[in-house]
Amino acid sequence: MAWFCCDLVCFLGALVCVTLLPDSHWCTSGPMACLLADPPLPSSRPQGANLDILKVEIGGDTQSTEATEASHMHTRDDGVDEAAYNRGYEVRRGKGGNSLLHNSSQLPGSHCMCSPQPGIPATSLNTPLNICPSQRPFPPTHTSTNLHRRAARPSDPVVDDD
Amino acid sequence: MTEAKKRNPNIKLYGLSWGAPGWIGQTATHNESNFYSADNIDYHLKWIQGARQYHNLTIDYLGVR
Repeated sequence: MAWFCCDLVCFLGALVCVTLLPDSHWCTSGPMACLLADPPLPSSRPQGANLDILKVEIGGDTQSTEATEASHMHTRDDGVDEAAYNRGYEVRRGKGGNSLLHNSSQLPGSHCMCSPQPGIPATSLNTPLNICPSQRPFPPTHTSTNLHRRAARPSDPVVDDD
Repeated sequence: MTEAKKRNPNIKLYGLSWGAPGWIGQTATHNESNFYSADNIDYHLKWIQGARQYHNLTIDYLGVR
């Protein structure tokens, strides 16, 4: 956990594996997406956690510790236009027009679960056994202040990124 | 979710609700909310449809509290 202290709160419970803090940055700034979502490609992104499942909380007009979790249907007749699906902190639009529904893993109400090992399916959901690889210590090149991809080494094969 | 899908198309998306609006499960004769109700099924289906229609996301799993 300490190795992610800047971006993540990691705790084990009945349902939760990893929660990203709301002020952490998802894919647009690079490192979190690389660490959590990317497959463990052999050279360009060797640190990818290769998550199996990204779990997102569905807002239900209830209170959470962070804010009201707006639902997409405040009433029985609601939920008929796009605006209904862009409500609340869980889908709040950030600067630059990025919908956080698109980037919801950075939200406090969203969680991710992953397999014990990259490439191995998470066979039992909602169990504390599905500890993300991200909760394991990284090699020394990946510290809490250096979560970006490690610098290229002369021995690395040349791979086109993206 | 879009970014996660873009970077890892195999990732599964899972929506979970811990609560629901108060109108869920209310009827003319039953004024109290009932979480496990037909309303809640409609409510979740709308969420799935909205994710697909407005955000082009296919939800793989749903859970309830």
